[in-house]
Amino acid sequence: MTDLSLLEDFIPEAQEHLEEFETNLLRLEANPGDRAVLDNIFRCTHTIKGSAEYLGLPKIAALAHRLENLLELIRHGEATPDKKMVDVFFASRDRLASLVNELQAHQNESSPIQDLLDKIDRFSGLAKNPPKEPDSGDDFLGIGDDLPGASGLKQQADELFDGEPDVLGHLDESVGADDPPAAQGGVMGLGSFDMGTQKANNDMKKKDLGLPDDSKKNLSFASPDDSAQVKDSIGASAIARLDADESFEEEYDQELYGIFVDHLKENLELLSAKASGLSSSQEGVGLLESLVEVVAGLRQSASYMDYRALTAFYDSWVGQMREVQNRIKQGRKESFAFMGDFVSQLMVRFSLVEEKVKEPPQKEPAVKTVEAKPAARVQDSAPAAAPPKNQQPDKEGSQGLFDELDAVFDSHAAPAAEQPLDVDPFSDDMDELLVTGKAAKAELPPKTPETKPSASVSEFDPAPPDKILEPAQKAPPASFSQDAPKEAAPKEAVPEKPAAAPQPLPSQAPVEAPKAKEPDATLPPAGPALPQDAQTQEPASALQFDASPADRVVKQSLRVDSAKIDILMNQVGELVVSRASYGQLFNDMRLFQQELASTDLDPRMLKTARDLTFRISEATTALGRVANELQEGVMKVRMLPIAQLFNRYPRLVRDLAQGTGKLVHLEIRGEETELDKMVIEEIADPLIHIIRNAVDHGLETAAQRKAAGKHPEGTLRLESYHESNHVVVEIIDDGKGIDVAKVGRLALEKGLLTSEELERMRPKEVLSIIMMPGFSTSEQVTTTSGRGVGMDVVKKNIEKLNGTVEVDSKLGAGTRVRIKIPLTLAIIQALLVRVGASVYTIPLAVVEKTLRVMEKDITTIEGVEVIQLREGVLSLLRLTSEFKARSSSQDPDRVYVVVVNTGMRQVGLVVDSLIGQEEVVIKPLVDYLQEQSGFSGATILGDGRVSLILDAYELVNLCMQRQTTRRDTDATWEIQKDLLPGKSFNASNGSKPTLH
Amino acid sequence: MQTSYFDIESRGREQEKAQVQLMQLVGFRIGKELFGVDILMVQEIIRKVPITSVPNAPDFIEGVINLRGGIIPIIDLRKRLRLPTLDQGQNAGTRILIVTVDSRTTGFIVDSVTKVMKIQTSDIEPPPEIVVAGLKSKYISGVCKIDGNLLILLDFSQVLLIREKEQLKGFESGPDA
Repeated sequence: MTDLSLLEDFIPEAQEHLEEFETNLLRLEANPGDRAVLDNIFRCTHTIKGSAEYLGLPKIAALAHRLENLLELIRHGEATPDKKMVDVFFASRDRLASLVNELQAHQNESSPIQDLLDKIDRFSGLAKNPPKEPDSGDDFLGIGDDLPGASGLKQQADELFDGEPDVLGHLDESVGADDPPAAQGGVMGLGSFDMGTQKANNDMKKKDLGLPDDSKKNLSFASPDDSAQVKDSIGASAIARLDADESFEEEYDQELYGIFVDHLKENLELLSAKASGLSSSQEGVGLLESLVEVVAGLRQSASYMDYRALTAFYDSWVGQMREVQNRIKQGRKESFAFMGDFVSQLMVRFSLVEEKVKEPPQKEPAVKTVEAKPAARVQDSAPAAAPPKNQQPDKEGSQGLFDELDAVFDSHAAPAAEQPLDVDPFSDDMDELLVTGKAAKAELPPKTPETKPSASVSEFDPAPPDKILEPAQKAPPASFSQDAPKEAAPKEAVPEKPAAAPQPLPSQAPVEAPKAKEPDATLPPAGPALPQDAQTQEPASALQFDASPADRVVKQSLRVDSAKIDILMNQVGELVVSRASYGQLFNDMRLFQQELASTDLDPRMLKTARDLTFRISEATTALGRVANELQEGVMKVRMLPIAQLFNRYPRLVRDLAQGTGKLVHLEIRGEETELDKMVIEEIADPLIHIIRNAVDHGLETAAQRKAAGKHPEGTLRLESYHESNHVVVEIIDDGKGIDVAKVGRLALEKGLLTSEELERMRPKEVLSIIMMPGFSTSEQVTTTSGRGVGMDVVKKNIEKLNGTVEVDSKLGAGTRVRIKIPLTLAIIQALLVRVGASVYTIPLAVVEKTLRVMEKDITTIEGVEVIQLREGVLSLLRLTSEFKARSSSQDPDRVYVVVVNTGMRQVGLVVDSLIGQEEVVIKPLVDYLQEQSGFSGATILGDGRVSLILDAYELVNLCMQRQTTRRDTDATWEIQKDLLPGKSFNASNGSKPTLH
Repeated sequence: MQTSYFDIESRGREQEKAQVQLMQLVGFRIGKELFGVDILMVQEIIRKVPITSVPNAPDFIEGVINLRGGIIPIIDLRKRLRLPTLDQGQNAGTRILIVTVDSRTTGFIVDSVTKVMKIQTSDIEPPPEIVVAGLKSKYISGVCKIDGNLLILLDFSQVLLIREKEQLKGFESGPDA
């Protein structure tokens, strides 16, 4: 069972990572070579995978893992992220996201992922097979000329072996022929070339040039030793790469592991049965074939589990079987003894793993087979030597839960690699030593008759199992050589490759005098070399580690339950309110003091009163300052850069552009502008809408743009900036714009306007028609320039946030949608007005201005009260009558009018008096009071009383409706007319009115 | 020992269960009628405070108040239940019962609050089909006799939710419509 609380942590984290993943993917698409971006993607994937595995989420983990593999290939330049691949990445990201969503919804992953896995595998397969050593894909059967990378490989081979035509020929042969071991070696070499450093190449060349020419035989490479050398060097670098891979590996799914073990067990039985049936070469061929298949199957599962050493082991096995097959075909007699060896090794190792007990008796046999094997092996063939290389790093890399298995096979694969020559003090690696030692024992090494190796064999013999079972507590005597790799292993990573590659080379190349070269190599083969090695590895690993922290620093954050912040915010709100009441207290005090002054009071008393007033004023100011800062601070906690929002859109734009076949360049500016998280969430959808409109309808196709003399690539700009207490978000496109005349015509057709009204409207007002409910949803809109589908929803959503939307457009030049939203939802600047006995709050965002007008200036047109202003006619709404309150106005001849902007038009709200401007904390009303009531919430005034906050847009609409129904009862009026009286006016130029 | 601790706890729960048979009610009056509400639903009882009216809301919604920073709607229970208004001079609507129903806090104006009463849950009878005290039975979750008086247990989630919502839907077109 997955821990729910962990899951709760995982989900937002994964979502964040996925967002980052997407952002970087877009960057990668634009700039495929960008290493930092790639690393970033990799890191996201890796983190997701890690957590998913930890939480036991097989699908997410598997998908992320495959992605990671593919990314790894890209990192090594073995694959290039072309369009198709990026598409798969996107698809995978989406799938991961939906998996995460499913987790959130019902705690399990239900979406299938197999299709994506296959796709990814196809990419990885393409990239991986040719250059990589036989561990991936269907190497044995697949390595032929028809492989995509084959020709390239040959080319590389040319370079690599250009001094040795003979070898080259063999190599070609081996690549083409079904001579697996040779192919293996060759491919491996190429692989290393592929990634190796220049130095490694040079070394190799040097060495290759020195290859004795006695390499005839029917097998590709020359003398066993030489070929082994080559492979050795090659292998070492290849290994380094492998190792880099491995260091990213983490625990595997327990379930998968179980399946793997079961599968192994089954096949093991089958194998041992069949192998024993192999007696003579003749009848053996067919049987061998089927065995090859079985082993290949095992190999597949091992490679799926990413047990590289094990895979390599199988590879060598298959290789050997193939070889024997070949020879049988050539009419030679072959013994199948080696089969028994392989099987028994596998069995022993397997039982070791299975029991996970380290009992000496078990170690014994293990080691024995190991020792026995080389002998048999070497007779068979030298080429089989290649795989052993693998396990050297593998062993180092073995960390994680199930790597024991791998490690077991490492140690066992090691002997399979009879490296006759390998007396390399420098590789200072346990494996190498073992190998050497064993080789020496087997009396194979034609080279250096060293005593040390054999000595070390006995010394180290028990090591492999030991290492497997309890790597941490190695006994010091046997171990300093082992510790080194262990320490180094986890750190080993990509950059390490170059370092590792050249290392084995120098020591191996001059086979005759390895010691001469390295002074400290003489004595304990491992000991002195150790520190050196550690040093060389250190810088490399340091390199690797530098990259990530640098990126991470930026992201340091605390994850806090937003409810906690809401509570804090609420408290701060209270504080703001009590600050206001202190302000009131101060005012009262001052009035009182003035009153006192007018009486005949003792001047001393008066002075005391004045002092008191002053001190209250001081204290209030101080409180105000602290409260302000606190409020700001808490608000900042909720503030997030709008980049969070903007970053979602490149993907949207990309998809839209692809869908419509247009070229779109997205420009993002001001993404650092900070905004309340709630606001960000609220405007996300409206923005999607506007962007979709802009790309769908605003921007033209490349051809149209060219015809219009524009750059074929359309530009869409998202911009955000602060404007006093608001944040402005603009969506600007340089498309064809909106045809104002057309909009007007359509509005007329739909009966939304009369022609006189239309004439009176300014272009901007006409444009705002597209945001009218009746206008936007119908298809006719598409026959205009199409903008405005769903724009009323956009408008509504924005207005819910006390924001405003404006559309501005120039035909042929583009469109700009401007959204103005308050910084935060919780606290707003507001204008307090009195209507009857109550105080109402009007968000300052919608207030255009306030007027004081004479009652006699108010006239009635078509049943609606209006006043004539210089800019036009302003329709009025008397709040006293709307709210059924008795006017408390002291001067019945004059009224106050608050001009509010409801987006498409302005309306004057007639109030009894204006109280002042204040910062208020918005508190929600009970849903049944808030819905369709004309109020967006309430606030608490300084005196503790509640004031309702007007929702201007809704209120005006409601009142219009009410007026309509009212009038419908006595007279018949066309509803539409009343819905849009069109007596709007624009207030941009100031008129006479008094401003408060 | 953990086990014994749990034993004690579960025993405690059983005792509680036994006690659940006993129910505590807050009794209050509207006019002559005696009502009761489960004490666990009552957050507090306050005196009448200035109420900010909400224009165009249904008539039984008196408005909203500020209760320690929270905005609480106030419903006149008499109007809500359409009970007869009192004659002039009588003490009408002196208390506000702050009740939490379905995680929503609402204040109900009542004439007076009597006392906390303990009753046996077994004493509660289902609401009669006929109208009790001029009250529709759907607002009543049960009745029980106390000291010879009939106590009406109000079903506040009904009082608050169903009808109210219906009325509020119509409210959009205005009560004057």
